[in-house]
Amino acid sequence: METQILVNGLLIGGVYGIAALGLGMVWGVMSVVNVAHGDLLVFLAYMTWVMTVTANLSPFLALVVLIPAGFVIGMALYRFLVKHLIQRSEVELMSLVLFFGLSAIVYGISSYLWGSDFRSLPIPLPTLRVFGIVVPGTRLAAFLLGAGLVLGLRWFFRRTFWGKAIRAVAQSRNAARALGIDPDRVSEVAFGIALAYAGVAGALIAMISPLSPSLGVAYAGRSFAVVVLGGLGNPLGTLIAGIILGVTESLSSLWITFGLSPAVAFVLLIAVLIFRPQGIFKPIRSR
Amino acid sequence: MKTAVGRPDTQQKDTVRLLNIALVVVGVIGVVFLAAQPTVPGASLVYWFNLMKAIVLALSLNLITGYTGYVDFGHVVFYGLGTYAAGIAIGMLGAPVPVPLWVFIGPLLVALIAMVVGMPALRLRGAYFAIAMLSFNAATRLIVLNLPRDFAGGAFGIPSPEIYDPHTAYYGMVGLLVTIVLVTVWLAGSRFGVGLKAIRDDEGAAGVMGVRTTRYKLAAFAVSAYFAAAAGSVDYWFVAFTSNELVFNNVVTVEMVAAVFLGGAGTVVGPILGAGILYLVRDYLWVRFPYLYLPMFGVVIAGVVLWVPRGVVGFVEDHVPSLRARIR
Repeated sequence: METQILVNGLLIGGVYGIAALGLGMVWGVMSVVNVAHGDLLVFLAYMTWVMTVTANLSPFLALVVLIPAGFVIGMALYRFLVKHLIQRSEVELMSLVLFFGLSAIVYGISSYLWGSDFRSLPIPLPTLRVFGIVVPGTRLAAFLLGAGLVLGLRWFFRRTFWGKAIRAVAQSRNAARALGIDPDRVSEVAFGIALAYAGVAGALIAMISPLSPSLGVAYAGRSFAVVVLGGLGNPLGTLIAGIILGVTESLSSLWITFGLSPAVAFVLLIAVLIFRPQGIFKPIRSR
Repeated sequence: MKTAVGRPDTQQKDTVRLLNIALVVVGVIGVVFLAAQPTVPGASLVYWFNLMKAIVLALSLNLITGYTGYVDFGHVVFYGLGTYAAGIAIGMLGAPVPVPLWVFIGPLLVALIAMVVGMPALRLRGAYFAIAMLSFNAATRLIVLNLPRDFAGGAFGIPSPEIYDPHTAYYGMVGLLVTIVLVTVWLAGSRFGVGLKAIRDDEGAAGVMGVRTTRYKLAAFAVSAYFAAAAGSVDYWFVAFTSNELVFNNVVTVEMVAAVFLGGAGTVVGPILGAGILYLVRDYLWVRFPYLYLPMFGVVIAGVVLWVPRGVVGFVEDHVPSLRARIR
């Protein structure tokens, strides 16, 4: 029983990790706190549902549309909203309030379009049994895809020009500018990548749970806990933090009650903020 | 949130004094108008009650967010706990204290909870505090939902049809509104209020200058939570019902944040103005386009941040030179 719970937690934790990645990246690179992240994730999850159910696509194929769509949404958010705030003195506070407004807009749209009842995808992959443990194929595929993309992002930050440019901007916008990097351009791309990852996460969320607009708050809470624990913008740290949250949630639903499991993220968040506010892993800002 | 504290010349002083007198007159007329509504035949008490509730909630958020600079995205939690403080005592425990008294005493318990939560939470700055409060509301909602049914009503909520008396409860809200306006006016000019504004502008510097930041923040948070909770308790008195889904709803926080920032955070007049304007718009939208309601608040919040970060009050101050010495 315990092993089964641990496996469930591990698989769902991988999705929590990738869901939090976009939030951590934007926060770590440009001090912008995207409170609308949870609602955007759920919106993108609904897009997956729309494509799968109405166009009869496999949810994995929907990614081909969602990744570029997320990228464009991210670039647009930066260019039309964030860019105008980033020079002001109170970026963090003002971006916080701005995205709180955006969160209301996105949540309102999701509720209008799909709010009436839960939507879920037909399960695309069969369930496996390994040593007596039930492993749902879809969740396993979601976990592997998520983990692969996280490692890809780690490679991107360490080895590519754009990745290094993003880290440079995260450390200092002015120093980056002095070295011939355009911080606006780089931030725009970083925002695009963050939302492209949110697109992937949205598709994975649609595969593993029934959707309702109110899922946004739950995912916002989880993502914040994961980002703070895993270090702002650190891909591997975020994945591991996601798994820690997933396992903790599963165990709490076994030991306490299922209804309280979303509250676990809150307790974890507060505990981390009090005892280890710098997180366990290094943020993207550090070298 | 810059405040130009130049030495205002005589003419400016006169303008400001005139404006303050005008505001007091408008305020008194407003209160008399609101207090007279129950005697007006055919007046909609629900309409005016909810307007007052929106103003009280906006002013309560303003204390911690506007004056102290701690943006609270879970403020609705105190309103929700306020309705439950009244609901549990009245509906479940048979009202050991008379209702009109309890709706003002019960919220003290919520203020106490705010202090307990505030001790760790107010050590966090900026985004961390806002997020912690957002999650605190979500967690509290779940905890209240999972409390024993014969204590907190579970998913069903707590009705108390026997106390239903909207006429008397209406005056409770009038009283609450007057109280919070007076408290905010006092605060704006007091040593305590100046300390809070110093914390907002630069907490480190405020501490160095001798402001006891921890005490000040906790006190502001407790007062802020008290008024939000009292609005909840009086609301319970008015409608004689509370339920989980209804009162821990993020939509209420969105309304409060929109009102405070639209009107002007950290002013007395701003949140009142913001809540009033949004209430009119809301009433118009609810009837015609119910689904536009929430996105509209989102657009207001985003637009204010982008174009008028200091709200209506700040906009007026910037565009009417004689008021630049500030309204307060």
